[in-house]
Amino acid sequence: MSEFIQQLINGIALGSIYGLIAVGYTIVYGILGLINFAHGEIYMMGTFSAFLAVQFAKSKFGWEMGFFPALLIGMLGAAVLGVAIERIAYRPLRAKSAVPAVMLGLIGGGAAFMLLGGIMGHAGVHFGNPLALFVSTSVSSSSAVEKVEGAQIPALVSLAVWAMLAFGVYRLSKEKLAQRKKLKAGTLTALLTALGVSLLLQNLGIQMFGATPKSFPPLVEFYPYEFGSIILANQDMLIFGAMVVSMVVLQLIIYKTKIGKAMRAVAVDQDAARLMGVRLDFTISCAFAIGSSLAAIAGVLYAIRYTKIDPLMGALPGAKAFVAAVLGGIGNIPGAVVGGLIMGVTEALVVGYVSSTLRDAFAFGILILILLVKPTGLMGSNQPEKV
Amino acid sequence: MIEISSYHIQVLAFMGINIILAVSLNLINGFTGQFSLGHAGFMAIGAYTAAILTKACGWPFLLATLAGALLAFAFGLLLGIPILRLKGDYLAIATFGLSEIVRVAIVNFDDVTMKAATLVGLQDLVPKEITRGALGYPAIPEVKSLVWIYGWAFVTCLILRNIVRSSEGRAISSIGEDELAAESLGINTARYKTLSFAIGAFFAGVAGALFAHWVTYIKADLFKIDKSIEILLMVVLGGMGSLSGSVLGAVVLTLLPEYLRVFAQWRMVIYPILLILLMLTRPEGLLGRRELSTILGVLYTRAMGRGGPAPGNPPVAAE
Amino acid sequence: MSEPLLEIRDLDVFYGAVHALKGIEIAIDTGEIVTLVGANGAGKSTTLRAISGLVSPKRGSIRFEGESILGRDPVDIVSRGLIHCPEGRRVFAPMSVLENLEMGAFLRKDKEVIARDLERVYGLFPRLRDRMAQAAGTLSGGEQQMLAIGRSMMASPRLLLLDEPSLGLAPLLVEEIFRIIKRINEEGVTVLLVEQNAHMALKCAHRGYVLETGKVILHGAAADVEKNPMVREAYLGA
Ligand SMILES: Nc1ncnc2c1ncn2[C@@H]1O[C@H](COP(=O)(O)OP(=O)(O)O)[C@@H](O)[C@H]1O
Ligand SMILES: [Mg+2]
Repeated sequence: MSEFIQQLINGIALGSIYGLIAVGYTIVYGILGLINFAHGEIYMMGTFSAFLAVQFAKSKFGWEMGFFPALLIGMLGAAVLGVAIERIAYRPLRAKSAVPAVMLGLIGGGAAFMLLGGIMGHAGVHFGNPLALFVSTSVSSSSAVEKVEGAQIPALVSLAVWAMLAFGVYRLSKEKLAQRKKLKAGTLTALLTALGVSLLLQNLGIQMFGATPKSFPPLVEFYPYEFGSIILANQDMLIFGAMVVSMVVLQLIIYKTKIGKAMRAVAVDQDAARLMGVRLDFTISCAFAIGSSLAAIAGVLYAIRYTKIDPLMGALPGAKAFVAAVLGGIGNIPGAVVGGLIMGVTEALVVGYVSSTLRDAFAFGILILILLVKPTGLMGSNQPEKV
Repeated sequence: MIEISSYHIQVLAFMGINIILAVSLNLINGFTGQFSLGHAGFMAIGAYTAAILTKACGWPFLLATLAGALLAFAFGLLLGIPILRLKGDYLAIATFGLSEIVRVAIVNFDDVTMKAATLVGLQDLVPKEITRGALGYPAIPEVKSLVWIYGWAFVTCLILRNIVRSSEGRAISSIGEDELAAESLGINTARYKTLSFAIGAFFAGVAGALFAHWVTYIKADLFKIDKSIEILLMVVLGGMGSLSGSVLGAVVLTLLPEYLRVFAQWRMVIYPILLILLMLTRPEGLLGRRELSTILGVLYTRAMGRGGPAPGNPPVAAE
Repeated sequence: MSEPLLEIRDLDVFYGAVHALKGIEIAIDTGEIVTLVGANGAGKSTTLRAISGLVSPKRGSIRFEGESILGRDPVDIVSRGLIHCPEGRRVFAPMSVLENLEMGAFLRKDKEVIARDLERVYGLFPRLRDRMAQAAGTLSGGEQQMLAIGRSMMASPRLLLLDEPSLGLAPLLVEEIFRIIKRINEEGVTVLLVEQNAHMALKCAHRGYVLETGKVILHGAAADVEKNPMVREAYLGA
């Protein structure tokens, strides 16, 4: 029995994390009808923002940053990232907007430059590192370019090539984006874009932070309360408490504030909401910001409780939280929390009584089952038909 | 003579296997419009089944390949019936989940069968090691033959081309264009969706078997979501609903990483950027729904001048 | 006479390849009820969508109170007091009746004036007061239509665009809706009324426009339009 209660406690803590992430999926899906596959990566990046901030504060100012400042920075980092993703990758899918063709040009030009460099490398011709013009070479020596022999193109010329490619991609995207028809979300294009963003963030994370797990500082010291053989960790209580508080605040925002009402209206009927004077883009940005900061709360708490973070930490929790959102009825916020708790408790019980290697399979098993038996989820959904 | 090293042969082999994977996934994703993220799962089924049959049971390669493919086909059929009721995002996630379950099942196969066998008292009849769990499956009989691989690639393309051009193929394509409309025309969409899903799975199984016997050592982690996405990328790049596009996509995306060795560490950053750019600027892929032959045909007639259509007014390519 | 409140000239709208409006010209003076009648698919809703900024026209001009609003964002257009009550009610079903009405006043700040307008809407539609806390989706069709109009009234419109408010309502309710439209107009709101029910609309309006496949084929005083033999045959079933 005590074993069971112990697993239940573990499960509720884990489930609170899933619930917090799931709410972000549900909010965004409710409004855009888009599965933001990158949500797990926003969770990861938010956690890393907090991690880097703590490290930075300590190394530069000798300041031992506490839990709340770190949490706030994590939330801010995630929110900024979430809004940026929406602007750059998703918004062009749903409307002719002043898309950052410039942004696409710079990024795409960079990618094309690397492609060209790689191919020309085979012919023994190498680009000088254009970054070397701005940054001392010692910093950028991670690139293999300097080490290989063969003809070397001067860095200035390389820069010119990069600029040309960037301009080319810029012109192309500008033209293409101007012509594009408004796309329905839920189409393959939207899904693939989201998938691309998710992959990109994972791999950027690996490049920026390294693939090896990092130890997250114990911003809240572990302290166990023991009841017989049952251990109730203060961190578990913190996780559950933070989830409850976040949900109360979220409900207040959604039901009592203007932006919250705007979000609900947009989720029901975008055009009707616009006819009330609701700013669609701003409202969607807010939804991303809110969902992303909730993910960051989950991430920081997870990091404190389970101590290790790495760039791929968002993939599985992201997928499981999505299952939680579907379980609760996508678009339904309390449903997402309940779904998260069910997922967490089930997982803990599977780990405790069956096998820890089966924990992930169970999550997907639940997903497939629920989709087949009751696709609207346990608590019903307000899945938008349009968008 | 250009010297062909074993490295080049290896690249060619993977290219052939990727062609089979991409073309077969295109039947599901491109023509039928059903977003599957689980192709690697079927590949795993084919790879493990064939490998176990040749190594542990001494079956001949061709027979083992067919058995692996048939098992993948059976799974495709069985799972397709319920799963394909789902649409869009849900289907994508469910197929992703399925392939994860396949992976976990492979890892835990020995444990579970042993426990089950012990339960009914048959533990002596069941071999201790079947899939060998997370350790991976080593020392598979080697079949390093480009003839097998390209033979199968040719067969795959031929069969899929015939399917696509048949009246069933037109039914399948009409589902891909507008499922509701197809249904209202009296097309049994569930049947065609499941069929195309299973046929796609069959060839993924073939590809898995070929792969297993080329590399001779496989493990479940080789068939994760990354692999499914890689295949998907080939299909998307080439053009959804274009078989030659998928071949093109497979060729490009097999060669590209080899050319990108210098930037190996940035490769997985560049790929997603390209995918996003592609989606924002040319979501239909390089060839769209057209086949290379029709495009070349158009270019040819245009180049010949007279008789060709005016440049600004290209003829509608045959679907 | 001074400039019209709303003036549309030479308006062309496309949906992809579909040429939905072909050079529409409409003018509305302050204080009028103007009706736009025509068969299904004639382009009536598209005209309203172009005015309120939901679709961007390819050509032409739309001027409201002397200023061009063509290509403006719907938010900007709403803030000028040009309010579009869309076809098919489009209430926010999961939100309460009161919340729906509050959404109508989304861009307005002055709480006291909003409270007064709420009373005015409850005055027009007493039934909404009784159903205040109920989810809008649970209202009957007629009540939802009243809510939709009430919601638009909460924006304090100078010009109200009504798209088929009588659609799918029982005859008694239709009459009530038209009575209310007249009353709203008498309280100083200019109305552009889109209707398929040409008979009722022309009786209610001062002037009328007849739209056919994206073109205005006839306009004039409502009584004259009603008497036109072509209109009688095509739209009034006489
Ligand atoms: N979103 C749309 N996409 C394509 N065509 C449309 C769309 N909306 C309306 N149309 C077409 O535009 C024309 C005018 O439609 P509409 O303005 O709704 O007519 P009405 O309101 O008079 O019934 C019709 O031919 C209709 O089919
Ligand atoms: Mg209409």
